[in-house]
Amino acid sequence: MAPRARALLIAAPAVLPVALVLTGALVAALLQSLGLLPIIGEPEFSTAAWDADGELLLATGISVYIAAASTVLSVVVGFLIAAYVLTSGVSSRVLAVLSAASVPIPHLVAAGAMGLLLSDAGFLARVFGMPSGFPGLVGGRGWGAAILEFGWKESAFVALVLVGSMARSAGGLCEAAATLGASAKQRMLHVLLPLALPALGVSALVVFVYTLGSYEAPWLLGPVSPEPLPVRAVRLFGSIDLTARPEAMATALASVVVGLAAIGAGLLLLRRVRGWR
Amino acid sequence: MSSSLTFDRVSRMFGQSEVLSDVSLTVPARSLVALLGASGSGKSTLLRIASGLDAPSSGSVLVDGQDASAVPAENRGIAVVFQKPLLFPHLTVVDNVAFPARMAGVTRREARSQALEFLDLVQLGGFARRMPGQLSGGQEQRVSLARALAAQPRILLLDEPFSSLDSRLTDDMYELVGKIRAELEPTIVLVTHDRREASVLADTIAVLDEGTILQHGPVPELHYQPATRAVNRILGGLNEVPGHAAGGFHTSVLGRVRVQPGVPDGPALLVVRQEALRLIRNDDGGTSSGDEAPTGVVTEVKSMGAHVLVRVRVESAPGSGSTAVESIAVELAGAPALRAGDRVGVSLAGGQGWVVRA
Amino acid sequence: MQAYQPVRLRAAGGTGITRPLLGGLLFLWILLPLVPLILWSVAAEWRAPDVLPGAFSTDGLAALLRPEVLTATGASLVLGLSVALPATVLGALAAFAIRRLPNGWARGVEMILLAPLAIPPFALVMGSNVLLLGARVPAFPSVVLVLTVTALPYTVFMFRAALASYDDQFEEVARTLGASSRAVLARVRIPLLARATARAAFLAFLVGWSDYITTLLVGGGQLLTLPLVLGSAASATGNEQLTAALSLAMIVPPLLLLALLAVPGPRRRR
Repeated sequence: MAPRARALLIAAPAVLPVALVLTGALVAALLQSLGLLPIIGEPEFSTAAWDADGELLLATGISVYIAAASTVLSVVVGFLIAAYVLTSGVSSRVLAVLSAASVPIPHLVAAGAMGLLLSDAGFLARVFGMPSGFPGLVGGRGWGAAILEFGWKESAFVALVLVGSMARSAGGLCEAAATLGASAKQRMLHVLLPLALPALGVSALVVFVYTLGSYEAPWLLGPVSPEPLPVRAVRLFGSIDLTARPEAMATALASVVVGLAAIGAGLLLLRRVRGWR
Repeated sequence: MSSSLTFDRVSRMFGQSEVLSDVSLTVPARSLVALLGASGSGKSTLLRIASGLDAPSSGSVLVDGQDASAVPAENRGIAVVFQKPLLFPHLTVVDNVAFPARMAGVTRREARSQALEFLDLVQLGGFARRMPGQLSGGQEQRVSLARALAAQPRILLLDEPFSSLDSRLTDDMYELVGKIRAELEPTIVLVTHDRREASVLADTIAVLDEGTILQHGPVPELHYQPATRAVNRILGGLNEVPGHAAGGFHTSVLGRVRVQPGVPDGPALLVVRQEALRLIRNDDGGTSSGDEAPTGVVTEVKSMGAHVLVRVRVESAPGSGSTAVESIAVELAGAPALRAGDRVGVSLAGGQGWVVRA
Repeated sequence: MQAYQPVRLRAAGGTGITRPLLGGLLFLWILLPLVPLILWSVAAEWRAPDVLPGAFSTDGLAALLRPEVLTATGASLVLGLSVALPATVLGALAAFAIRRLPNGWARGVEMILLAPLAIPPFALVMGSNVLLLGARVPAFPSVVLVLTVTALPYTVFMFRAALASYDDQFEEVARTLGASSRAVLARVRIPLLARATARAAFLAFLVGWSDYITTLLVGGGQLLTLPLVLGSAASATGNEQLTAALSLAMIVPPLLLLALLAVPGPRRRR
């Protein structure tokens, strides 16, 4: 057998289920969203699910806002953690271990913990003596608690990626920069930051796409209405009203489209950043 | 702008092990001192302490006589060229060299024009717009040197900067160091494990072994008047002939040799460089003087390229009352027609010897 | 020449406070969300304005031993292992195959295998649910299939990374030293890839262990795992104790596994 055919055969048990589930799911979702694959009744083409009173557009806007804010927060804090880990003494090792240990904590657990921490009568409010002006993070229109949950979890992920990509080079280059007169702040801005940029870009893209499609935090920590894409899709999908199905599928596909668009734009941007590689 | 550098009783502990103990050394302004030692001798640690990248456990570092211990690395005015070039991968060659000026707040334009001058100094003016990844190893190290010089340091530290280059490139680099010294007169400390490199470049060599300085002196002194056996070995000396010192003379299989004054009577090792010995063919008709040269049998002839290393088993002169036998190494130029088993005489050029404690 | 060491540059007098301040804030950022979780898990009574619980009890933790919670924990373990096994094996095979394929083909295969990362899990689940129901696949295998597809990008990525730094010359040198191809596999390739395998299996296990949305939508309530129990506790009010205890029950097993992975083994290289 030709080596290529042999290799393809070895890859097949992994490739086939992925390809089948992926295409099957997307095609079925598309057909259902257009009314062509109803659970009961006759197929009838309709685009009604795609323009339901601008609700889909609103949900998309909210999802993009949550994902963008979470990405910015994760990238900034993740970079700070990585910079601290790479340039400090013993305490940095402890921080690195703690940060890495928080990566496998499920988002559901993190969302529950954020609820206990940030709600009106939560731990933080109690620490500050229950001030009347405590911001409505949980259930508020700003999705503050959900964004903080994503930021908390994903900053640890970003830090892990950054430390992994820079561990070998950062030490030597920072020392060289110091002997050339760069202060601690200058080393961070002119050495570590540009060094981190490619990995920072990739991890930002991963965080954006992930938070865009993540259900648990906005569901537990967000307001009942309006809803971001995942919450709306899951609610409509579980609705007793079977006519809600096409709208659920349209919502799900909207999140796929936004995610793919973000990946396309991100890869274009990253290619420019990586020019010097 | 060049400053002197002084280590005053510097010690450094890593956990329980002492990497440097009580090191004192002065590097005069505008001189080049080589720190010579094997890996693990503490020489790189000493350099890191000088640059401020590491702090001594006790003792202090003085720049122009002033304690620099509290000054962080970025304000010391001490630049380092490391073994690896450590060029910033996100900056062009010229921006790497412009880096120190940019950090000091100089405008980009001004910093670049200064950087170009330093690139010209290392003969890489044409490579300014390249990325570090597009250079060869030797070029990268030149850029690294230019970048360190662009910081206009009071002292320049070189931490085995040429050890990963091939020998032709290192010779070019030695020439470059000479040129830089002539033009800019920086104070330089060079860390190296290569005694040839130390000898070629340095005014004085400090020999470091197991965290202490064994000897610091001019290059010839280290070779011909080593303070201890260890220094002799580190400088590549092969002969330590056991014998007895008495009244300013040393007696051994090599006969009675006048040695340096002030040697106490008792057992002592005669240190003779293999390059300072000559061989006399016995069939040449003997020596002219009445002083009979010690003789021996050739045991090995080893080629070292243009030179040959000959090992001779030398026995005590008959009638000396001793039956000692020593293997003596002699380095000769050319390709002498010698074979194992040949009988030869060994003579010491100059007739002056140097002994160290046994 | 030296193992990686963080740079320890002594800060100048004026900026000396910035670094400890930053470090303190980062520690707080990582640890603070866990504090109420741990306190609630052992609190008996913790009324609103009190900063600390008024009384402590083990009731919350004891609730973890209730039969329905134990069953859910068991279901989660089985699900995690059922995803980890196929995802790790298939991921390893695919990574080896990609290495042997010519460039264009390798890129294509890799793109397909990484594609699930780009699709939000709930969208994947909703679409495939229609098909799985149509094909009358029972709930548990359906969940395992969808989660294995979700986990494959991670395992493939882990093995690709390990193989990228894996030098074929190790195998070549073993051959020249007289090892048969079976011995090369057993004595060289498997030991050298053991850590990557463990990491890949850990990630795939996590996908199954911590999944909420797939189990909810595909399982249709028939499959009750730990995350589903936690989800219903967390979404209701007044359940802080149970929420906290269930959260700890979800965190601790993966952390123990992670600690096991991090223990420096004899073959560990830095």
